[in-house]
Amino acid sequence: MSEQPAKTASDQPITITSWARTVIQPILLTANTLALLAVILIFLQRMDGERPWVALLIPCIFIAAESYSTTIWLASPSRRQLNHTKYRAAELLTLLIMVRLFTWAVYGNWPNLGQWPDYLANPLLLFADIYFIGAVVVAYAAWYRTLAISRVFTRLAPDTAEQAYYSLPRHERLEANQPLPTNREALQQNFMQQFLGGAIVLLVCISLTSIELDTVWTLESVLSGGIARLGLPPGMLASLLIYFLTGFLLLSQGRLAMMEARWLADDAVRSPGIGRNWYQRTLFILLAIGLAAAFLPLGSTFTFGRILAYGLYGMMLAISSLFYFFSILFLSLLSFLFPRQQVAEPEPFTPPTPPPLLPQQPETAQPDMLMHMILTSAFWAVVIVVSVLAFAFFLRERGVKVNTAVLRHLWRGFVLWWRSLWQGLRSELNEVREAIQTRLQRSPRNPEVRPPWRYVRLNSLSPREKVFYFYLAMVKRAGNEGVPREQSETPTEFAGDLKASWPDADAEIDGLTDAFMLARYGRQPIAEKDIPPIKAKWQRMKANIRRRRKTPPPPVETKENAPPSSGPPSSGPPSNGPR
Amino acid sequence: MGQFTALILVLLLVAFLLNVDFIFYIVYVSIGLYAWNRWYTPRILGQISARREFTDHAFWGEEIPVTLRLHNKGRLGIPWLQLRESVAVELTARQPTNQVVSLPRRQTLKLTYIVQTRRRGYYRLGPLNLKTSDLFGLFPEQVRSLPPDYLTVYPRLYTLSQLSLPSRLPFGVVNSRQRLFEDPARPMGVRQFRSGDSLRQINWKASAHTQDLLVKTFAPAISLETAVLLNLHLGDYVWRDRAYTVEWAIEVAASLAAHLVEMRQSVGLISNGIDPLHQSQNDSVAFDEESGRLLFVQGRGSKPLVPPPPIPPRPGQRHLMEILERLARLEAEETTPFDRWAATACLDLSWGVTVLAITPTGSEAVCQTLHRLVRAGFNPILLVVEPDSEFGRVRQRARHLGFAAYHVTEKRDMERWQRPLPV
Repeated sequence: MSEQPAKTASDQPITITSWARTVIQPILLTANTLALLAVILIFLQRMDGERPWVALLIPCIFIAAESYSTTIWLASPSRRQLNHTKYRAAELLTLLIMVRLFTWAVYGNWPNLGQWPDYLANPLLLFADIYFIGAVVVAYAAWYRTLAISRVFTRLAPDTAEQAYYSLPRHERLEANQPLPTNREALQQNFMQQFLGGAIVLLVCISLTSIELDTVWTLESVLSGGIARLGLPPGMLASLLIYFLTGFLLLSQGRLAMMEARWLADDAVRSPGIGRNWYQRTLFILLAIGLAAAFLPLGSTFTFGRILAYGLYGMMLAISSLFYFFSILFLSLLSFLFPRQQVAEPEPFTPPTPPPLLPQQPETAQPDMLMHMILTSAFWAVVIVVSVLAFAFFLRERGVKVNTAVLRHLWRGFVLWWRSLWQGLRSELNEVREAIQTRLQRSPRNPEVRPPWRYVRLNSLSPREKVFYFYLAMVKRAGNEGVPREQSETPTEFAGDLKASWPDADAEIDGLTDAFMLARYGRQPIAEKDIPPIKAKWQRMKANIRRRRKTPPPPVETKENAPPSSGPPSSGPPSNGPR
Repeated sequence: MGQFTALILVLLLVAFLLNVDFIFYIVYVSIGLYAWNRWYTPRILGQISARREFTDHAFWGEEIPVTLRLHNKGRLGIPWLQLRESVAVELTARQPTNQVVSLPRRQTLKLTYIVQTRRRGYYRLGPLNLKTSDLFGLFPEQVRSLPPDYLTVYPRLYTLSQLSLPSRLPFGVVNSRQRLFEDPARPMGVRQFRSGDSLRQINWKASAHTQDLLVKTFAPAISLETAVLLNLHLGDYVWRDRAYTVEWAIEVAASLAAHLVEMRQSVGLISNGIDPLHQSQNDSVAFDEESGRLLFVQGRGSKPLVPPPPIPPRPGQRHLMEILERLARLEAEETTPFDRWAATACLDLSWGVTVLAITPTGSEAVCQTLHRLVRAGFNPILLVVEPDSEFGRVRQRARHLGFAAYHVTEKRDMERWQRPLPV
């Protein structure tokens, strides 16, 4: 028998050793979550062999580790001011973006440039991917489970406030500063529940994986051929083992964390070897029991096991029979209480009269397209802005600071590139515009060149056009007779010139000019009945001109000496239209 | 634990339904874990033997080491064991008595803490609570206790060299100036014969040698069989620092008793205070949480206050320890006042016994009571322990009534008895 003195208080640490919390705990937590997810993914892989479900374990490792580290990081007192919900949302959004990229990379369905317009027009196409949806569910499960368990373990261990308070000598402690008590028993129960829930999910997956599902779709096939069994993949067995091993270890570690907190509150001085002994003893017990269990005959080989299995089957059969019996009884009772209504003799079928055809509505595709574009643009703008903000918030709070000088430099480069691009476009546009203008520009008017002759059928013209015709014909003939119209002259001024030259045709000139001005600038309609007087005036005018040709007029000083004009605008045929 | 059972049941159900061998393995491990903890956890504390080692009586100011020995008799180590020794904070001076240790197999753990005795009293050390559980939290914690032990701290003692108290009992061993009490067993010398000297006192050899009649002279000696009459009636203590005065009175009584026993005199103790241990009889006693000291708690409808039985005068160290032990536990209470209690308390004393009456005041009633003791043949001496500005009148009154009175209100007043003996 050896005797060992108890260690003195000075050389005993107050709290749990940090390596257990920073190394062992995250490994165990991550391994436990991943083992559960691995079973689910293997099950999915077996159900759907087309997609690489098992590959999702890679992002899940990262997600679980990240979720754990964020939980520990947020538990620090310096982050109490931080909005945890917002930060968690930003973290989740960042992780989901990464999952989207990962699924594209693994599944090999990267969107090409041709697909982007479709994605832009219809954003749901980006998410309407079974593999991505499954990956999101799995990633969320990894994130949430790690978060839940790590939160439990964070709260199980004594926090900084408790350590600070209980490290003080008893007489220096203020009651007002005493940390609120934490119900650690409930937390441990919570972990146990999560472990149990995970175990049930795991067992269900294993059960479904081990059954040939083709044989259980119908009751007949089950009764006739029984349920066919499939072998479990080694990965699933390994995950099962890891899940339970890490679960038991976590159970032990949670217990240690809880005891640490209690010892701290009790002012108990702990011997330094407690933590080490705890882990060693836990491992020893588990290994010893595991080793002993390995030598036991398997339950399926027991006669007792078989009897028990038959008993279970019988019990389930009895339960299902009872359920069936009571269902029948219940339905019979219902049918007795609510008898079926007597169905009347069916009437001969008469086809319904078709509804009257509605007048065809004008298509309104243009406004819908516009609204759709606005909505999708707004959606993408919101998605991009929220994603960038979430990512920036997530990184900024974790101390990852973006170098603003680099960003500024990049922005400046972008602005310069955009400016040069814009200038290039503008110069291109100018050139194109000039080319078009050059092509469209009219050739300079050559008075020598006459427009080709065109036949105008007077009766085919509208009353207004007839008025134009009469007036322009007068102008043309006047020009031919030596009274051309200057380009800058108004109809009234030109009428003055004509009257000066042909004083005997004052009434006709005024009548035709007024009618033209009324038709050209007036808004009131011109009826067909108004045309004959105007036509009569024109004919009189024509006769007057014809008469003048026979008797040459006296020379007009002013008109003869006037410089030749650049060409009358109305020198063309009346068909060119009124000015 | 219920959830773990549920887990095992679910596993068992799935294992039998699916007949998957690997799930059977997990079932075995889970059941093994459950069974191991179920079997081993209640047995952990049974394999520990614990004992407390210390000196259970101490003088004021001593430091008493208390050692707790825990021996793990089992073949397996104990991963964690919380041992909490319930000791008052004032006794341990905030040394850790609450520890968590791991105890390897067949090893003994020794935990030592020091008890500092700063006040007389009867203290409880312990109980020692041991607590442990399984490593997975599947079963409730196991608790076991080592019953408490008790420590008696004697009152503070002042070393006295001489008391010079008068006595009526001759032939003791205490030197006296009273020639009346010359002891023939203690020859001191010779002197000239005077008329009236007894012929039996003549030293014939010396007379023959000197040719003159010489008689023997003897050293005077008295016997101081003493009873300390300690007044602990709380109503008699009127000074504002009542607690201090009570303690002082007890310290004076203890010092006088110790001195007299050292002088090989018989000393007894009679007090009208309360001994909580005696008062409680078989009832449970209460101890102060802070100081760990035995408390006297008088509840409603409790039995009347009964002073402890007197300790008759006897010599010897063992007897002194008995007196000091009683003095360690005595508490002042509202018992019988001194003037009504003293006369009856001294009935069992033999004639001539010196009665050292230690009271807070020397009032008229107290003096009259002591005078009655004088008349009854005792030799009372009044020791007043509360400050009194008119103590001269008390002394004068006492002298008139036939007994001596001393004013002993602080340590300085004891100095007269601490002077070295004249050579």
